[in-house]
Amino acid sequence: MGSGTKIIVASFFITILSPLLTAGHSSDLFPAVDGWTIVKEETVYTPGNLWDVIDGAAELYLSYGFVDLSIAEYQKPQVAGIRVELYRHKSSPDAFGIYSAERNPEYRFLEIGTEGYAEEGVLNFLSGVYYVKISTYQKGEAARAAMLSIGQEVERHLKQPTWWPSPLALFPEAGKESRSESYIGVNFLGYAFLHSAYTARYSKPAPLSLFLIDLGTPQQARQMLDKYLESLHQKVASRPGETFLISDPNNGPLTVLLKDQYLCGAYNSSDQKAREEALVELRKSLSGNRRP
Amino acid sequence: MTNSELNRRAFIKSSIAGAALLATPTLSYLGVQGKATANGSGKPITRPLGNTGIQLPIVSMGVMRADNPGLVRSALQAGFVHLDTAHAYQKGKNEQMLGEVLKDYPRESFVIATKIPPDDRESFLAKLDTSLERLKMKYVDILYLHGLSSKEDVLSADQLDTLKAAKESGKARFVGVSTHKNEPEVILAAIESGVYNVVLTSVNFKQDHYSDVRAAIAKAAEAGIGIVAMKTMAGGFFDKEKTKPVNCKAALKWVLQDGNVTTAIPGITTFDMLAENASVNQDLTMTDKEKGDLALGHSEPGLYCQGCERCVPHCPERLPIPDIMRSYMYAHGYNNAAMAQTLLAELQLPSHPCADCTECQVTCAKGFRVAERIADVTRLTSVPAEFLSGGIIV
Repeated sequence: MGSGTKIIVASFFITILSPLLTAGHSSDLFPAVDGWTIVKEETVYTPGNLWDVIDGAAELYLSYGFVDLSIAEYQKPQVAGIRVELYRHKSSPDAFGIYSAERNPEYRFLEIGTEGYAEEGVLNFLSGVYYVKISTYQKGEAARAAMLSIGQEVERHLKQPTWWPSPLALFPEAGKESRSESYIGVNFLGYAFLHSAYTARYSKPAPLSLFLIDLGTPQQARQMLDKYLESLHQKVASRPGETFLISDPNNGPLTVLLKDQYLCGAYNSSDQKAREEALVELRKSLSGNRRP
Repeated sequence: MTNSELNRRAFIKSSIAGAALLATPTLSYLGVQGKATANGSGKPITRPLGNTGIQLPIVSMGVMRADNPGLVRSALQAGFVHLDTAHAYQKGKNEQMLGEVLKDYPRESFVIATKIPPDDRESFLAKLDTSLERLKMKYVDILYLHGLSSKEDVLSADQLDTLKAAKESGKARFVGVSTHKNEPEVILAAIESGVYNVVLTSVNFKQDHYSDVRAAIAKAAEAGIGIVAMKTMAGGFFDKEKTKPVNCKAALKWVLQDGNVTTAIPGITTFDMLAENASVNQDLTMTDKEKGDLALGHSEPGLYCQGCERCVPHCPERLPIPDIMRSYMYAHGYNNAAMAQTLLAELQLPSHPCADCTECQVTCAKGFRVAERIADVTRLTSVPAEFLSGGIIV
């Protein structure tokens, strides 16, 4: 390759190809699976045309840093095709966010990727920055097995990390409802200034929810809290590490805690004592995870 | 200074077209049907939903997320009546959340719509039952056949029979079709069917085929079909880098200037958006600033070449410019450089097709900087195919 060509290739990487390098090109995303022929969809869907595939549901995907969607169908004679959709998001928390927005604790969960679940004709799983959706019109055990087999190949091929976003480990286990965790990337509690919130539901000490936002520094955590209070025209004499009450006319009463770089809260319950208890448990968990 | 003011300043500063395009023809009809745009009574402006007998405030709520029931309660308190969801949103969690909220309200106090994609009769009706179970209701007010884009699908005898069955069972008061592609064809087919009561359609100021959409909407309204508008914000941004936000309130008002549109369902995810949209329910009058924002935005060329070919005679090399613009869209819009390269190869272009020209004579009807885009995308012809289709990409 001549030097001129090298320059062209290098500059091309910067302007056009670089997004593909981090993304993976659709041609490379779908692994060969014995006995199946892959038919890829020509179009790689982007935020501008995701509507063409999932209609109004696209809006939620876009709020979770949706990057692109690649689709292929695995085909075999005499058998219904198996459709594989790879939704790529900007970050693992974003992918977890959209996955958790659609996850229901009652599903039959599987060990695939970070986590997956199966229903009749459907196998969905989380794999790093990918939310993978596999589906078929065929019913029965054979279809389930085929989807799982293809899903496992896809998972291996994507080579994504399988761990959960680390803030999830900070939620206390006692009283937490199974698989109730979620991530709200934008507009948490209906406010544009509250974002990047992890949440979990609890059944004890009373039905309530906890949220946890890692702002990176105590100053930024304080700033987010101040914006919240300012929007509510409230002044609270809060001190770091102590819980305090916020009266939010839109979301009801919240008990809030500012600790290190974290802004946390208990909400969705009118039981003030229970909210405080839950938050105290969360504070203990945070104390054991102080950043160096 | 608010964020929206900042965005507006950044937007104007970065606009290449400037104020000369303020009088974009597409916007010229503003005000024609804009009479009675402010009622001054404190009550929302309402319009009839076709012949259904339902009267709706002009702004409704697209329920986009299941994580904040407080927003729905606040919307109802603010005078919103119509809530729009879908069977598939968040795999049913959206409907579940609405069911939890709405069980505390009289059934007659709100109008709810859900959408189910085409399916065989048994599966479709089973999904309707599931939706009703999630919503904790005996019926929905509007049941849409979700996401159709062709006359053939709209007039499918099986689907029409299924919709009639849903209506006769009392589980859907009215039936409709939703579309965000080939809207005029879908709307006209809905009229032809004689079955649909409502059409939910994409409509916004950025649509190249807006005049066709508007004409179809007018015919539907004349036929007694209620029109619900969606995607009024045209994606929310003018550019792929998301640096030029749409003035969403202006875009919403713009669509509602057409009196044949009953209501719009913008997705609402914050209390600020809710307040802003609620204000449109009171006053549709567009300010000069709002008109300017939309006109400036309309001048943004985007990525889609309509293939009008008016550019071709300008080019001394007679380059297939529409095809090259399409390859540019593949590369930058779809992030699919291989597809762009394949198309360029089919066109058998040289590496530097504009090399013989010192100045480009081409004028694009959409305002594309044609020479710039040609120079950008034709570099792909020099890139070895293996860089685009395999090997190095993880």
